[in-house]
Amino acid sequence: MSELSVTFAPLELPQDGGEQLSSLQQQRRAVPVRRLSDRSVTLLTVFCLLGLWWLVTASALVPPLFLPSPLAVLQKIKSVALDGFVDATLWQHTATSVARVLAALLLAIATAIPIGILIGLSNRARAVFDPLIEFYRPIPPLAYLPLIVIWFGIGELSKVLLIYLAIFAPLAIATLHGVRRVDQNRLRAAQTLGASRWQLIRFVILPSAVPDILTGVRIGLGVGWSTLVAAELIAATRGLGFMIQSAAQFLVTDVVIMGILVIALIASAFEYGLRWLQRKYVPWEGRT
Amino acid sequence: MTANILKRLPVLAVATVVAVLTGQAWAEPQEVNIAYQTVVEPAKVAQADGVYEKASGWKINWKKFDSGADVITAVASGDIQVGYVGSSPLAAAATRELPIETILVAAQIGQAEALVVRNGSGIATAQDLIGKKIAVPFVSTTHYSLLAALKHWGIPASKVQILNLRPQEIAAAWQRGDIDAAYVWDPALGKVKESGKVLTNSAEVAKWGAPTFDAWIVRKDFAQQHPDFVTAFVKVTGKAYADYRAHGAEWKAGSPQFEKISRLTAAKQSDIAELLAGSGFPTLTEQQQLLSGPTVKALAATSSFLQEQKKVERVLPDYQPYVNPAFAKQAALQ
Repeated sequence: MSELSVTFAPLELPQDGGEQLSSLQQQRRAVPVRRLSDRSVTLLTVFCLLGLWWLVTASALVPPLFLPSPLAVLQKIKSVALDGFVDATLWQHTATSVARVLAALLLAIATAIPIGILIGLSNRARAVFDPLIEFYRPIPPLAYLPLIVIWFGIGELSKVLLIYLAIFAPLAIATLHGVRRVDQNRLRAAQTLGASRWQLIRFVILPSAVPDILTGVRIGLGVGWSTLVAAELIAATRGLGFMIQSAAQFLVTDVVIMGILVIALIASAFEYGLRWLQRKYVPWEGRT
Repeated sequence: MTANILKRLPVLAVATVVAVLTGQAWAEPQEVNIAYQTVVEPAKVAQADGVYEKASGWKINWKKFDSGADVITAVASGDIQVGYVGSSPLAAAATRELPIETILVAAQIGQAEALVVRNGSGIATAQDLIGKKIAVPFVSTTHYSLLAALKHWGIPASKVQILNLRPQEIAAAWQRGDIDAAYVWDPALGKVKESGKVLTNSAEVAKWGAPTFDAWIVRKDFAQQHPDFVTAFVKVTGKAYADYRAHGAEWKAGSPQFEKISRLTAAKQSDIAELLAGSGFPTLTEQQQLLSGPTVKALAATSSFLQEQKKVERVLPDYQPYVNPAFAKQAALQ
């Protein structure tokens, strides 16, 4: 077997190599590198997707029944906004759904945050609530939908309750993590200064947990919106989820896509609003 | 010699795999997905006995659905090739130009679907429905019948609260007293009748000019590729209907027929005789006549009504492409 020999030639730098490098660096500094901003990339992605959608429908690769064109969906938005669909306009459907999600969110904030704090501070409370939350958290809302109908009827309570249950678990868990993450030195310092238990919660624990709580609200809202369609299975007469289902049953695909887009836009608006709140009130979060 | 065999080993391996796969494909029967509903009808006996499989030589995956609207969606997706639907979802699907065709009128609905009012709801006459909550599965034959009944009584649909509930949810909401009336079919119909009275039924609504029927539909592409299977399917169903019409009087609670129907529909055996009597099951000879004209007219009329109610946007000029009497004709000849 022949021996493999490799020789490395020494790297020869020109005499004025240092000067050459520095001039290269100067050139690079002189020419500004055109980089797309994140927002531009986002917009580009959206336009590419819209373009692809238009291309697929315009070339008749997919029948309109399965995928209507962007123009057809736009026209449908206009017609549903003005003339309505299943006895309500787009605004009425939207207002109903937003009201349900907000009611569930407020209810979750009022209960999940105190319970999360309680679990974080007390092992006894954790022993009580943790198994309950972990038991129902992985169960999809559609699974307990029949029980909710039997127990709570077909009114608004059932719809809001289903969304509330979806939001509650992630918010309670996020709050618990926020409480557990509180700097012990800050707690001891406050105790040394004679802070009561309530003052500790109000002035030390809660402010420290706010970033996690806001993250929990963001996650919870996302889950809440995804539960909306299931919630509006329960004898609804209005709502975006109800509108989507009714359209699906009559194979009105353009209304289905329109409903999905409206939910996506509203959910995104909520998400960006919460991100703005996070930047405004907890600017230190995520910085070293 | 050994080297020669080793050289040819990949070729032999490929040949073996191909032979095995071809053999399997040859041996295994073709498969079809059929959507059925929990409607009480005589062909459930043939379904329970595996007659469809024996007659066609195909492996049939029977999939249970709770409403025609869900069946239509599954047929549209291509996952279901043959499905049982009511005339209302069928009309809606045809209006949306779904590639389907009606191959059999499964049942001319009569007393099997009824509008029941709850005891204590304060509803004695049709006019008492104003302001009340009526549950109905949307896009079903009962939804269509309810709207037609309200029109007949001169009650605008906006004057009552029509709620979209699936049959199993209707039973639950009824027990809680959350709804005042429901237009539904069995097994939910049997449950609501226990504490309510029938205000009208689909036989009566049909007399008012809004007949409803159930039908077996097939995807057009599947029917073109496998006409023999579709013909066999139609023949078995037609024979089941003929058998019921000839010997239905002998079918009683405790009989094997009622036991099989009960198993597939969850209907009480004591209710089955009345439910079967509440619908008409056309023979293959009658099917040819029904599918040639009346079914097309009924689909057009249903679509026009749905358009009037703003449930569909337009009506097709002709519904003939969505009805095919050829398979019933072929099955009758065999």
